[in-house]
Amino acid sequence: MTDTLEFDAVTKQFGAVTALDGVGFSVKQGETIALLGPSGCGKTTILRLIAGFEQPDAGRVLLGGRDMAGLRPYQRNVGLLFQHYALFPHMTVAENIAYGLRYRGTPKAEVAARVTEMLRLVRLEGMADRRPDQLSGGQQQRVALARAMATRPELLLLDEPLSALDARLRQDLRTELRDLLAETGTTAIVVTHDQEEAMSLGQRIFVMRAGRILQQGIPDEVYWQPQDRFTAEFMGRVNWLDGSFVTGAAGPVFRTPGGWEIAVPALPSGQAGATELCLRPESIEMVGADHGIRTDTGTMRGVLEQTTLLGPTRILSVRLSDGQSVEVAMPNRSQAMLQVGSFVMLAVNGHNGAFFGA
Amino acid sequence: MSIGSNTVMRGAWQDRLAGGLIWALLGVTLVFLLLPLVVAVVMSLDSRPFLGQLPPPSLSLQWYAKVFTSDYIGPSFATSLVVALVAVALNATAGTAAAVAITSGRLPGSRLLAQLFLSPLVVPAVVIGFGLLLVLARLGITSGIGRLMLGHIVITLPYAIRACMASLVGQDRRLTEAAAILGANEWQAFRSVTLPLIRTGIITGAIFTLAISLDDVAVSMFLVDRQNITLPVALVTHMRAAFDLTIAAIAVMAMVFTAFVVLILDVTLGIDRVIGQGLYRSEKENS
Ligand SMILES: Nc1ncnc2c1ncn2[C@@H]1O[C@H](COP(=O)(O)OP(=O)(O)OP(=O)(O)O)[C@@H](O)[C@H]1O
Ligand SMILES: [Mg+2]
Repeated sequence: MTDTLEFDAVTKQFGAVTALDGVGFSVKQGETIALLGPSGCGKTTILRLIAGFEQPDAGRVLLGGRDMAGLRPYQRNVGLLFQHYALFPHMTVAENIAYGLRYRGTPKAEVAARVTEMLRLVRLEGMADRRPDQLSGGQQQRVALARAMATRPELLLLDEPLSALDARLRQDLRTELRDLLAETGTTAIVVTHDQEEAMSLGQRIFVMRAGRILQQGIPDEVYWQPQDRFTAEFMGRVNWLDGSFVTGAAGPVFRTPGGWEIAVPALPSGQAGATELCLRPESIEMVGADHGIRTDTGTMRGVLEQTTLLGPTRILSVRLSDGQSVEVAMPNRSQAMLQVGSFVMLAVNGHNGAFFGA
Repeated sequence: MSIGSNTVMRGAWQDRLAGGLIWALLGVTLVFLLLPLVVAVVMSLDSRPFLGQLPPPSLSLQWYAKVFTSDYIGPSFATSLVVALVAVALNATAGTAAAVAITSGRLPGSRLLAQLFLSPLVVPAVVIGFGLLLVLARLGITSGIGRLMLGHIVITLPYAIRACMASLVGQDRRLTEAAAILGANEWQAFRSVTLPLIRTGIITGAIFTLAISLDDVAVSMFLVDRQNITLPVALVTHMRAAFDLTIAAIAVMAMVFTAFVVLILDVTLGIDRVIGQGLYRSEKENS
């Protein structure tokens, strides 16, 4: 079966700016992928090329196996949710949703039925006759989504669909959006610069930087096994530990200059001479106060320097006795023993670490 | 709304002085604005066949009667109306198209054009009139009506384009893109999205066109010929040739008509919306 979308070595220049530099990827039918990257990396440009607002300077865009070169936006069966929704201000909610059907020769009765169905899907029954300026941000977002999906496009493009909303609403709508995409079997590309959004919405994530795709994979893979520093740091908080990889008594270990040893699954083979271990804060656990006894593999000691509360988790900054500083994530339950300045014992799980060369 | 509230610290007599001055200024301004109107109304009702002292000893409607009986007013009013309506029609279509093209940014030199149309229009009317006369003669256009039509389009088109552009620059380009990706071609997107949103701009442009065209003397003076004379030019010429207060009667009728139009606009569109959005909502919302 052909992929719904194939983006084949596409390059796009705007004057002197190279917005996309030989980007290639494909999207399977029914799949949701997330394009994740910082501002200006070319995410919107990809969507605009698929929509037909821009033409590639090199490479091809194929939709359902068909080359889209030269096709105007209205000749492509693509839905697009704009970052700021771009609802038609002079039309009601129902008219906005019906707009696309109007130009596809859908019979009147069917238009009405589809509008009702879309309103139900996005849970806006009873709002059909309002105008966009009479809706809240979250409601506008849903109208925009309903409008984009009403024509049942082959591919749905979502440009930062939730970024204009406040944090709480964003989380609610994120779940809602994921369920809706799954329920309708929609093939979708979600653009975002929020890694949480990318991981929760995308079945696969494409990490972008400066017009290139750095890494792609399922969320867990990209999160735990980043292939470069940029991806590692973009996906979330991370610790970089200096040291060397050696074979210890019980197998391969990572040894810090201070002498701590952390068991790792294998010595890095592909990255000969790797001297850094990349650990997520949740791979390190605070065991308790340090009594100066245990020095087994997988333990480290240090001074608690700072704690930061992030709601469900608490981030501890610990200065190891060899001078390196690490962040530890722990569930925000017990706080009785957390005293800044005290010595603490850490347990490290090196099996989820990633290796990096110097 | 007294100035006094801002200057409480300065003491009461200064407040009262400032307040009094403001009111005096307002009064003087009002008098100067209204006095000519009052004089025109009184003069139009004068029963004397010569220019006498005000107020007139008795009133009559003779000048109003003359408006409808004199042989030059009907034809010249018809000429004025035709010329103005042609200008309105062309401005509303070609002017709108030009405004859309300029604001789309895809036209070469569109930034310069936008600047040009959005800055004040400063060439004196006499210069435009004389220049037009020479150019049109060169082009072989010698009929008065043709000259008047072209001339009035030249002087009104910038206002129409400007009013239309002002309503376009506040508009989000993504709206037309949204229409396109939903399946509307360029023309359908323009009809269903752009046009309804710039309607007030087009109407404002039409009103300006109508007002400027019907009012113009300086440019038209150069362009009229024996068969085609616009109403303002005819009135001015006649008044100089013989004493005639028809002009006052027409002025009063024009005032009543204008008040009527303004009233209708206010009821249907909201006058402050037409003026406010049409003209002065320019570059601030451009971003
Ligand atoms: N029409 C354009 N003209 C000139 N440069 C452009 C144009 N569109 C995009 N660019 C440039 O191309 C690059 C990529 O832009 P793009 O909008 O795709 O970024 P993005 O990843 O969507 O960023 P953001 O997260 O801020 O939306 C940027 O450097 C941008 O300045
Ligand atoms: Mg963007």
